[in-house]
Amino acid sequence: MFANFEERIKYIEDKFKDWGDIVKRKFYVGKNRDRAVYITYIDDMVDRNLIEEEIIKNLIINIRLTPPENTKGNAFDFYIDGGVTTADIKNAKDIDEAILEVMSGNTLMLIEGCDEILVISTKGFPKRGVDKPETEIAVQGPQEAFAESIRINTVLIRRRIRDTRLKCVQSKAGKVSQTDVALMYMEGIADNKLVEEIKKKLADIKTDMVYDSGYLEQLLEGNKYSPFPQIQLTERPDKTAAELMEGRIALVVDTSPFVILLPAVLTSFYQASEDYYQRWEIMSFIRIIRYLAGFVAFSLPGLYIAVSLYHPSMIPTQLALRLAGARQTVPISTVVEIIIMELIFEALREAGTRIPASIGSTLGIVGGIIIGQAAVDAGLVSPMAVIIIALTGICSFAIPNIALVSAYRLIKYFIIFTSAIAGLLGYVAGLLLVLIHIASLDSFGIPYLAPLTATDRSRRRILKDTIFRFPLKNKKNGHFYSEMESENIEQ
Amino acid sequence: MNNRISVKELNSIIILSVLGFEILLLPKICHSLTAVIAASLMSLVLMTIAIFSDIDIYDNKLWQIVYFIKNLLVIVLLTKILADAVSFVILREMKLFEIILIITLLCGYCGYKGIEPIGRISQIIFWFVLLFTLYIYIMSIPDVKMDNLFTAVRGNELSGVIYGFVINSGEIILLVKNRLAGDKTKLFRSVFAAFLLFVFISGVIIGKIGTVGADNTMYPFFELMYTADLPDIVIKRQEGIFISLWLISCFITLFLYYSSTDILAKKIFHGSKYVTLVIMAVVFAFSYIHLSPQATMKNYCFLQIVGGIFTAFIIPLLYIRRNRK
Repeated sequence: MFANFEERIKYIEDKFKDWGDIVKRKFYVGKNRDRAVYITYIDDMVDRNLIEEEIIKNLIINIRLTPPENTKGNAFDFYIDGGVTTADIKNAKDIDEAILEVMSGNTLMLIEGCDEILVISTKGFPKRGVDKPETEIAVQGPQEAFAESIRINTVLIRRRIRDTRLKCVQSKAGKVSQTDVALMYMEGIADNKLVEEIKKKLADIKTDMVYDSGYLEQLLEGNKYSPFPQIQLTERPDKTAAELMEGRIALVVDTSPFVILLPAVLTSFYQASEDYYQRWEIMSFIRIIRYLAGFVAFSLPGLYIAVSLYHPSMIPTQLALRLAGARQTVPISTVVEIIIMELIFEALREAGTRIPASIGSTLGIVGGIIIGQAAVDAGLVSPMAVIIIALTGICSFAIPNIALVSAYRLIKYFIIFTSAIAGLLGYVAGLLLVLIHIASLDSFGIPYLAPLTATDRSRRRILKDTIFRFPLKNKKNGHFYSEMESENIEQ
Repeated sequence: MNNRISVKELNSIIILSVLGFEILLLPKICHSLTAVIAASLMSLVLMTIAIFSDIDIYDNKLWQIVYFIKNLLVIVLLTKILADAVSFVILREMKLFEIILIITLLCGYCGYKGIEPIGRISQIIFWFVLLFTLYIYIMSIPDVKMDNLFTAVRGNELSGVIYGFVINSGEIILLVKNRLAGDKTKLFRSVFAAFLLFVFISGVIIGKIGTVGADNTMYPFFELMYTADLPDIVIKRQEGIFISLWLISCFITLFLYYSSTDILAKKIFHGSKYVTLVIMAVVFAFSYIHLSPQATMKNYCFLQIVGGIFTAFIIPLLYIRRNRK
């Protein structure tokens, strides 16, 4: 494109015009200082020590102290071998690619008289270290979470799977953001077709910016209008490693502390990494509790409305009388009461996530206990409504995945609506509509309700690690997702 | 989505259809235990024929039209039967057209989604529905009076054989067998289980309330549910759970008919997008035609008997004749 050394420098400097944080330097090397070298990088995105010690010092001082016999003949190789003493170095295809690399924290180097454009890996931007997980807390087991750096995250996974079959294919997403994305999978375990499909989908992404794995999640999902997550996000390296061994694929996105796992089925959102670190009996029991809690989280307010409004005869007489007595002073209908209470709880939850941790508990006490009690005492709401809302809220926190909880939060209002229209018939109709919707979903070709349904061959073995968690010695080294993929293709 | 259904899923659908509409109708229309057994045996034969026959109602224009009309009528009558039952049992103050509208909207959407999700949800809810329903019947066994059973072991086996056509499990197999993935001989598990369920459930109902009681009661199944002496160790009033599960079983049968009718309509009308909406509108309009619950049941039985005889005898004869030519 630009054969001339000076033309290239001009092109680069035009591109970086008005960049206050760009560092550029042209200096001369060789015994007679007869060859110009130009380097450029972005300040603080690089490891400055590495540049000074391994590149500039070598080129300016060391080569001059022990000058080459013939710098004219094979100058490029000479400077690379003798001048730049880092391992990660490559030749860019063109100058634009090299500029892109500079924006990723690398250093661009041009040598007068050489056609090559060198890109030296010098990434060293400020980053957060490995911290504790915040959304997938485990009492027992590793306390490491992913960070915002793609390299830290891939290393955290590699530390757990020391096998050459663990592949890491790197690409970029976002036309403008050019975010680094690492596609990790176990060769021979993950389905090859799926790997290729995801590579193609990543390449087809047309959006300008990918700030976080949440962006990529929404861009890759099959059914974009469903509230249910069809791709799983995790912040735990141990979970990611375990899922890779099951045949899933991980997408590590730079600048995001959450790794994407795909495909994802409904039961995978109920599983936590801690399930495998404790005894199987207790963890099986806890899993059942999670499933029940999940059901309560989206269906209890609807059921309460259906029964109290349309079928009070289904409530035991004493309880029905007490409920009716408690509701005598409440000035609003049961449906409005429940919806208002739910919305207040949503506001409390939202405030709880934004409020500083030091005053979070105060908000809980004031919002949940004091206002709740005052509302009941004032006769604005009935005690039963408070119990229903509190139970729904507690149960939603028992589900280990925040994306599924969010889906249930929305579905809950739909069930409230159908129950308010037609009582038990509306409640059942609402549940069936949700169930049919879930049953029609799939994640990259795998039915969303698998392995509870839609599979015959491997179902029995897989079910041992679905609703229950059988002893680890019974857990054969099967690869659920790859088996499901091949079975689904055959059907 | 490949719009296929597995053997396990179809097995679940067959049993759920027994636990939904069949237990609502069969003990009511069969006037003796022998008639129930004869009807169950007949349904067993029909299901076996459906499994092994080469009949494909989707591959011929004439059968497509015949089955489209027949399915539409079945949906209309089943919707009315379900709406009547729901109105009678849980929503007495709600207008019938509102109940029909809700049923139609739900079934239209689920039928439109295709056979695959219907099969999946059937497989998931299968054990809940089966175990809870069996629980009622098992708990009712102590109330079974031998006098009622012995009185019931009398007469009208021929009508029982005819009522075998009312049991729609054979027709369900016929409607979905072209989309079945797997070994169809495994369907015998559910066919045989369905036979046993018919005999057991009807036996318990007739044994408890007698043939006269079953005759005079609008819905013997609900009668049994309300009068069963269920231990209240968990909750005191459990009928809400059973009604919900029974409703789900009925809906599964309706979803299946909707799905099949949707496919037939798309074949007949060359894949028109709006067939589902038209089907829903037709069902809603015709379900609201004033018919007493008893008359609706009678019409449904008549339709199924005529349709069953047509499927079991006339279609194979026509196929044989065509093959000879």
